[in-house]
Amino acid sequence: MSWLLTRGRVPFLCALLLATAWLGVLAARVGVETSNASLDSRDPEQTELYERFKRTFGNDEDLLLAVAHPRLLEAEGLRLVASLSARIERLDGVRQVYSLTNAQELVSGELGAELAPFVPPSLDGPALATRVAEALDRSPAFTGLLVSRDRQTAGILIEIEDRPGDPRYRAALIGALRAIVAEEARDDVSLHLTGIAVQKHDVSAMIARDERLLIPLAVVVLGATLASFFRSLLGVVLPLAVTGISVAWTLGAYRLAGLELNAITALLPPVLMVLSLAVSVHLIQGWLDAADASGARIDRVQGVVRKLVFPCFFCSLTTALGFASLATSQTPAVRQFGIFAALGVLISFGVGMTLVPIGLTFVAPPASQHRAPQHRLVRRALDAAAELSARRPGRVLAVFLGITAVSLAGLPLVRNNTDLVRFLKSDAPLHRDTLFVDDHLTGANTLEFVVARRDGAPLTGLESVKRMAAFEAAVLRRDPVTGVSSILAVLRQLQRAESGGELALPADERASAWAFDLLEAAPEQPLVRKLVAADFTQARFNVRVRAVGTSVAAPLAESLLEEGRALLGDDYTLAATGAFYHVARDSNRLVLSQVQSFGVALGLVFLAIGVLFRSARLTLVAFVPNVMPVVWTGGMMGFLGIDLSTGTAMIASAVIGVVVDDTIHYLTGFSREYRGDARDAVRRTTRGVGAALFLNNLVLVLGFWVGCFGSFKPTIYFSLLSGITMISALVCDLLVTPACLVLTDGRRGAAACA
Amino acid sequence: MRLIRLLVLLPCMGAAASAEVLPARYEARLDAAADEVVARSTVPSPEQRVGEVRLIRRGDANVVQTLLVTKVLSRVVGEIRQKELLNWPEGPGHEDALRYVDALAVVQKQLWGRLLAAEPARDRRQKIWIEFVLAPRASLIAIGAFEMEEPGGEVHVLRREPLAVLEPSRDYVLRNMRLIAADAFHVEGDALDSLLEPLELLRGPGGVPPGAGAKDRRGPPVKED
Repeated sequence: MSWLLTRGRVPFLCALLLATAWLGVLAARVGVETSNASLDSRDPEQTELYERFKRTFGNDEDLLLAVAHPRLLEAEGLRLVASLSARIERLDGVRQVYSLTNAQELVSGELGAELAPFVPPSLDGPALATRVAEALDRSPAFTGLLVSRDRQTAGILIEIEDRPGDPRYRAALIGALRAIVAEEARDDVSLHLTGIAVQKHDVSAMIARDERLLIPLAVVVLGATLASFFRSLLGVVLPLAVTGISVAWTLGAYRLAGLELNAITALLPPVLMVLSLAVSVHLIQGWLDAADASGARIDRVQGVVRKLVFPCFFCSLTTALGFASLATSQTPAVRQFGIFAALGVLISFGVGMTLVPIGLTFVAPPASQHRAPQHRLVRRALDAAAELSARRPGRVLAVFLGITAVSLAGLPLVRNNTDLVRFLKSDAPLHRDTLFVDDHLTGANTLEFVVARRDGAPLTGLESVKRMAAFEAAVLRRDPVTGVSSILAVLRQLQRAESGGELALPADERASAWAFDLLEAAPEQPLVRKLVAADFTQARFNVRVRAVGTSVAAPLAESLLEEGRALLGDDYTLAATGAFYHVARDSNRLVLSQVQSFGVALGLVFLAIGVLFRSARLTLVAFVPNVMPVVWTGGMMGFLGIDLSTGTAMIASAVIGVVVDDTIHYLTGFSREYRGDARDAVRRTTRGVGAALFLNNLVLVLGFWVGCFGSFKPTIYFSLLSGITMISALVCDLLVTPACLVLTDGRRGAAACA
Repeated sequence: MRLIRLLVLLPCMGAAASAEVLPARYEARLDAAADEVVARSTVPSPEQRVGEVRLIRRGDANVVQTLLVTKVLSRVVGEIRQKELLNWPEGPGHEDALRYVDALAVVQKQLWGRLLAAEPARDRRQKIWIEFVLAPRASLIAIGAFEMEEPGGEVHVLRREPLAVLEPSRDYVLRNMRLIAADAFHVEGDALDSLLEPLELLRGPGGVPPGAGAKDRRGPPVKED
């Protein structure tokens, strides 16, 4: 260490600079993921099913453009829809466009069923609106999808190509569509674009926007906090340098791993900036507080390092373990966040423990302890906390346990719900547009079901058709379901066109076989293939659901699977898939894995504490004030109706490793100060380490709260609630930890209880 | 009227309804053993395969052969009927066109009847072949069923069963052969002539062989005994 602080300073700083320059360049090149693929959990069975679905029926990520026009069914409105359909069809990346003006219906012709335009191509004839309205009455399947019930909003369904090797075409296509929307919108005409692809695109754009905003904001907030506390250039520059280097190295490693930022890992830079300050803050605070005011610079720095290296190492280790526990998640984005946050924390320990001492050797130490100006107000608060916990430990613990008991009551109220649309702020275009489509046209989300015969035979028999119809009826009875698209709607039209009469399914075996024969020879094969496999062995049921979160969608899908399997019988298979189903399913799996992660984090963190203190008593004492804040936050989420989602589910695992640092520092100080009387030791410890804990927490909380300026509600809740949990943890560490130490201090503890 | 025509036609069909009773004068013209296929095209398109049209040299005769393999044969036959009547309105060739589409409808029903009798059938596709044959001194249309195999998706005819043979006017057969070729191969004008170059009887604007007389061109049927 002494070599590093003397002759080794310059070579070390040069090496650090070079490494940082290299990794910084890499960090600057980290891209933003456009597919959101890392937010999908890796379930091989589901992935294979979804891939098979896409191979059979095509991409399910259709876009929907809603066009609200007061005279939609008149020539003016229909011309707009026709012109939009034609323009959109010409855009690169668009496979097919379906709208009121290019849709076809099956009618009776000379040879039987034949296709006819749904809307007259000329749009000039008399009573156009009446004729179109009559056509809509004849074919109710179009209502909800291509036209609203009040017939003032048209839906233009845009089937996009699936280009796995080209991540940019979606952005270009959505940009072109939004340009068309902006161009065509007028006072009385509004256009609204939505769809999974738009969600992915907007999420990527918001991640990039958050990166541009949150990182500079975090630097400003942290710099201001450090400046106000340390009131010296050194106290700002050294921690920020450690932070900058840690973030650059971690993101450089992230880039070396071939990863791109996603909605979760976008939090890495601000979170790391905050977490990497801890070591610097403790070292500088220790250096300022050092009793040996007259010692040589090097000795003083070495003394501080010796005193803090183990607590700081264990703090970093426990923080890293907390994050590393997220590596058990099945969602790649969460896994990446956990692994790289843990790596970043360890890097910041290494950099902090070297760069800060070297930096401190360049400046003269303060002449005395009292020159540190930041302590007065904090000292008073710390004195009060020390006295309270030392004199009334039983009451302190009782009050905190009471709060915990109330919080526990709120835990069952926490709802596991991921709602992609409501993740966005209410003024976000996607949020507005999606809810407009949800209100006026069809449900914004779709669940996909695939029916097949277990023996692999085609579904062309009457029995198969009847069973599928029973399933369809069961689906339509469910409340959040707004409609179902399936081959049955086509069969009904076909049957009517062939035989006359009302919409009905084929009545006998021969009619059913004939209907499928006609489908096989139909000219509109791309449309038919979206609903049924080419060999008729698999049928797709595209179930449109209102914009609900996964707390509704996941149970709905599971219950439909159960009911559908009962209705279809043992000879058939029924599977659920699709982008929305994946989100719903992943959400549940994610929360389950986060709970597991929290369990792992808790175990590892307290194992590390046990190893550090080699005392069951101190390990138990550390447990109480760290679990309490997590329970409080959980209870608060339940009472306030904040959902457990991809963001908020990370709080417990991420925060436990951070908040336990305070306890480690406190218990380390207590072990040093204890000379047979816990009350005295508690008083000295609270006054001794309290200021550093206070500053460290202040930095952490303000740093985390920078995330409140993010674009996603899960990010905002994660940041806000993590900050609140840290404040709670600090309060617990300054009151509950000393109270527990006093109460568990043998005979004296028993007396205190009495 | 159509019913009457069918009733008249049916006995004739019956007479030619099986390979065993096929008159000897047709056998050579319908013997595909030495067929030389000069061109083939999937109809109506490779994406939506209903059948295949082949241009064939069979000895001194030229043949346009259509193999239809479809579950909706009645619909396809209906479309052929519409097309024929559009191509041959009242006037020369109209009666030949009517006889042809009526014969086609009868054979289609025959095949449909066989399918129903075999239900539940593993393969619901009905297979019908149609040949327009033009020889120096003969012109005829043959319609029948066939069996096939499809190695690699290519149709290989294993056995043919003639169910109807007609002897329309030479002009009708010739012009229809050119029309079918143009339709199936999506060509016209010079491209059509180029396509038909190997079939000497179909060459030229009218498809009339250089040595043929005016009588042949007008098209009264020439029977070959």
